[in-house]
Amino acid sequence: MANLHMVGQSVIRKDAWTKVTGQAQYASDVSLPGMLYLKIIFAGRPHARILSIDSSAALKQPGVVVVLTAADVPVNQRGLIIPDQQVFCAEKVRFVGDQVAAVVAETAEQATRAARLVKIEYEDLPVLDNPLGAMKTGAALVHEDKPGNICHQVRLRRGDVDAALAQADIIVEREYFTPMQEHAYLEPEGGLGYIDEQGRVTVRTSGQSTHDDLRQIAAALDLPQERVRVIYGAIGGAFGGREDVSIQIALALAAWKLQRPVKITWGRDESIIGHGKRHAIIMRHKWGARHDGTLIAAKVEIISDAGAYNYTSGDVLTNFRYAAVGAYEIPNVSMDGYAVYTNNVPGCACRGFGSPQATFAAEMQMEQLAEQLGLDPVTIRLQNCVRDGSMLATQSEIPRGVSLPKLIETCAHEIGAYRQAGGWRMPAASPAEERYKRRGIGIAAGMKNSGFGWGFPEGSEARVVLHGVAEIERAEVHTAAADVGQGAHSVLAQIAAEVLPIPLDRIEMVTSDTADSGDAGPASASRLTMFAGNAVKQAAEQALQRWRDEERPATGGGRWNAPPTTKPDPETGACINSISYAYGAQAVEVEVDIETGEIRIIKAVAVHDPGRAVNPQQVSGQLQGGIAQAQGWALTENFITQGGYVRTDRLSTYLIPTILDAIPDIKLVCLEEPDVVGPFGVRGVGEIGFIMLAPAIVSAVHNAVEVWFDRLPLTPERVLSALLPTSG
Amino acid sequence: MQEFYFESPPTLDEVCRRLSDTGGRLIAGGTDVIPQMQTGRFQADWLIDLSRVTELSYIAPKNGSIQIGGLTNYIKLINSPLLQAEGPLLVQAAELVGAVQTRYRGTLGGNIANASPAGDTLPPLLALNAAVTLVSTAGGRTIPLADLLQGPGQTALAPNEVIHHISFDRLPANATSIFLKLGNRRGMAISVVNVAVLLQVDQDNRVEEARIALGAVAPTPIRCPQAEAILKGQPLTETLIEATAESAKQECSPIDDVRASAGYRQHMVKVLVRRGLQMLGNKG
Amino acid sequence: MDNIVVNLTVNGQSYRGETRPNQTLLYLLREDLGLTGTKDGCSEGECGACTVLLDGEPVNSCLVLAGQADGREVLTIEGLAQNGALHPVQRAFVESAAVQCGFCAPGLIMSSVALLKRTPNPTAGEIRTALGGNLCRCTGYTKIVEAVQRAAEELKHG
Repeated sequence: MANLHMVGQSVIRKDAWTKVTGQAQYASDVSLPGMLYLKIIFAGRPHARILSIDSSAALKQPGVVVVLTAADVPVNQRGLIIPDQQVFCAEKVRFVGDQVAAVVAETAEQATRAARLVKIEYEDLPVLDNPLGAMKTGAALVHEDKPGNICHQVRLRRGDVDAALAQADIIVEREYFTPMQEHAYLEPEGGLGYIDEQGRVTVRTSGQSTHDDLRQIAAALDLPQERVRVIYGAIGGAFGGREDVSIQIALALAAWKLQRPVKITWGRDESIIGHGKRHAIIMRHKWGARHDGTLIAAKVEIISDAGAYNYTSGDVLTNFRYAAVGAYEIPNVSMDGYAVYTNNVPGCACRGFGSPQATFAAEMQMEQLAEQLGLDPVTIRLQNCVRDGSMLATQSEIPRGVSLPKLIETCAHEIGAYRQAGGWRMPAASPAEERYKRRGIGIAAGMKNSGFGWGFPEGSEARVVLHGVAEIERAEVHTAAADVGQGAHSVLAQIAAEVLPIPLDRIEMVTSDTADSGDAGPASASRLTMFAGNAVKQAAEQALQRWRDEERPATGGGRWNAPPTTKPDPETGACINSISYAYGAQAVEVEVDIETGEIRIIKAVAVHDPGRAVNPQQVSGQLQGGIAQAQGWALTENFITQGGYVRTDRLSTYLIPTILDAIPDIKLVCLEEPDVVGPFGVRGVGEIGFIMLAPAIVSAVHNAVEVWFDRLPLTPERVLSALLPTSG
Repeated sequence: MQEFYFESPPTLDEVCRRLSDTGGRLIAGGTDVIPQMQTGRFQADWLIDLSRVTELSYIAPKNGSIQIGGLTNYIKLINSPLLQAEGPLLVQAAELVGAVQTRYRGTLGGNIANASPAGDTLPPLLALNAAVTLVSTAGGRTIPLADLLQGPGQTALAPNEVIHHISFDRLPANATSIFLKLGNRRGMAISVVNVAVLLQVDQDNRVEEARIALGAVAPTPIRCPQAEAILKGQPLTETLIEATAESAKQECSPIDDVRASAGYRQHMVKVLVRRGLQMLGNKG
Repeated sequence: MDNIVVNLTVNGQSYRGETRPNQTLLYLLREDLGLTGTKDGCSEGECGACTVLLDGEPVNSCLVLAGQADGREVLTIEGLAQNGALHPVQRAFVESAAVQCGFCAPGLIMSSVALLKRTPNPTAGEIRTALGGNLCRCTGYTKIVEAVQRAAEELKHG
């Protein structure tokens, strides 16, 4: 791509100044005169029938304005994909964070105090705290209309797996488990609801899609969508956890009912039980290969803990139809997947959308095969990984421009591996300083789709307005794309500035207000730079054309439609599942304390393909951030639930990496192989940094201590008990 | 947070008087009290603030002992040349308490009064045979720290008593000491196990004095008298170290919690005691 | 319960007001003074988003009672920039792209300012120790370390 002047520049992000001065306004930073405060009452128990709700004592408290319950909700249902949850539970509660009622009072303290006086009588029901138990015949039902507690079931059949397995020279069969993960965005949920100057019920909050929030609010309040408005200010991180609504509907309902501004701010403990988690998943893999390492068959069973409600469980599960086998081409694949209702906190979108879990299992299978066949980890990956012309498990050809083989080779070189006769030689780890420590090196690879795919009609809306008389003085870019911290607004401005003959500082971003902009689609699936980027590019090109046609101001825009994908065949899963992928390979060197089980990552190499980095500094930020979050998932983030109760509902018990834990030395290499769909060749990079770190760590630990781990996280205790099987 | 009356007197006398008059409770750095008030674990009708009584923030040698005022924060402990030279285990513990923000606000007296089984400065103070001097309107008394700590969050402090200072005898020149901490994360970790070891070894490699204290493995931080007895008078050999570490493991009584199992904790006591002794042995 | 009166200096300006005894300094800053740059991420001293300088020392303002701050000097993120010019630490965070969602940024910047006042030439290890109480979920911290190093350079030469 020749002569780009703005795309490819590490310009400073537009919101940096307001964020470093404290001027940026997050959800809880805005107030209105006369506003009330909302306190949501959680079930606080995992599974119970509601016998009665008595608000009378709470209503007598000073300052209390109203207590809202199911009876107050016009259409008492919510759900991003399917409406299987009530706004306020009427008959029963299905997890600890189910919302049962809400108190509105003059002050936050009054609302909190009164909430404790709302008397709710429950009759506890049997608790299903894991999917295997929930699938058993005779198990209690989380949803009465879902027999066997099956939330979703998906199938994939490619080739003849059983025949191929029968012919395999070697078979590796193992079961893996990956745990829930809390997103732990630094900003807990909050927001302000009010009636705007045009009478619309308005919610100003933090989310990932203004328009998805709006649709669910309008449906629950039984209002036409034009009478609802959703605005995002600065957003303190999201990572998938804000895809489903949390406080939005209750807040809108309170403001609508009272016709007064209402504010809510969740504490950290409310945030941790109140929004979904990365799905905990059991993955059973049986893979067959030839002596030379060629993969010929994979038979996979996936059991995902959907928790109490669907959220995006079906979609996460669907992604396994391509992701279950990692980034490898296997001619015979069968996959049966189940998302199972339990009384746990719902599983939801979380950076990678199933791919980190899937990749962990697939990469561990590759390591097992390599070990048993006496192959090195680089060769076996290069031999089987996707490349141009490869067919995915969905029996569709992977989009052209697959850079993965090159990324794996580069990563191997960077960590110190070299080619030798018959394959690659991995480097020896550096010697540890203490006699009770061992070091090891591991490598892993992966891919992640950009955009939803699977037949979902996808696109993004944007509008560009050019102002001026003789010359373009300034341009407005209108988009509802959510800047959750990834820098979307800045990158979209850069894309506009690439098209328009004006400097970046004359581009004004008008963002994230449903009253102003059409639906840009969510900040998810690594999609905004590609999809909203294409929409902004198209709008800017159109506006510029109209400017040249003498239109003043010149406006361009509308919806950019992505090339179509197709729905999977229910039996075989065959379809065109996605239009674009990001790729990566990572290697790490770890040090294991064999007496305590502690793991330290000494260094990492991450090689990725951003297609075309619009802003290289922001791209590296996404990758570094993904790596740190994956490190937490792999090592320290031990989300503990017991009988449906969350035992790690604070940042003192749920341990995300601190700066002292972060990998001190990460070498990032970006090789650009332009994508066919993304504007200027862009690929999505929001998730790919996360995808393959955990298996790289586990491989490195194996290299250090010769023990395999099939479960995450590798807490010191779990590591030690594997090293010392006899110890208490 | 619950409601309470609050006073912040400028002098120790006044703090003592108001504490007695109101039947209230003390707050110093607040790093434990405030989170516990948020969750309702700490309750008080009156809260008397000690944080202005700066006369209680000091580290000073006195008649063969070292005195540390109850309001001395962790940063001051870390930066004290006296403690760096004569109480390195306490400095090492202070360096690993919470994070910088906590080390500025949190105080040594607060760590004692909070009486967490995992309190990081407590095993070092136990190993130093520290005594705690308490004052109140009724006068003062000095009590060994080991007697003051009575259980998780429980001490022998009377409701109206204030920790005035902590003191311990200065150690002979051949004393060495170390603090080791194991957490589930490197930064801002709460101890899964912590260990303080203090050793005096003579010129013939014979142990003159050995003190071993453990944290997070019993209702209070504890000393290990049997392990110490194994060492005393003996040459510091690998075999002896192993036996000592095993004894320490037997002397603790940890529980399972969200951070680790009892079995892991017990095993870690052995590992850390062994490491501590080996490190000190190598130094000497 | 009786309200208490507090007098403090915030960002160089004196403030006098009544507050509930059970309010934290964080609450006072955000709700009574409208200084919402200081963030509430956990209310228990685990995330560092509420870090301010109290008499020059970095503290979690969620763990200081408003009454304990009476008579003291508080510096918040809003008080760093002088006459519209960013403090070198703020500028370094901008230039190093150390800010993504930015919710942790005010706390991290205040901790960094405190560090550089006492340790003008910090090692990477000293930077990590000084910022060990400030969680960030977006950046992976690499660019934050770079930003503090950049600020140290600038303060040395500027």
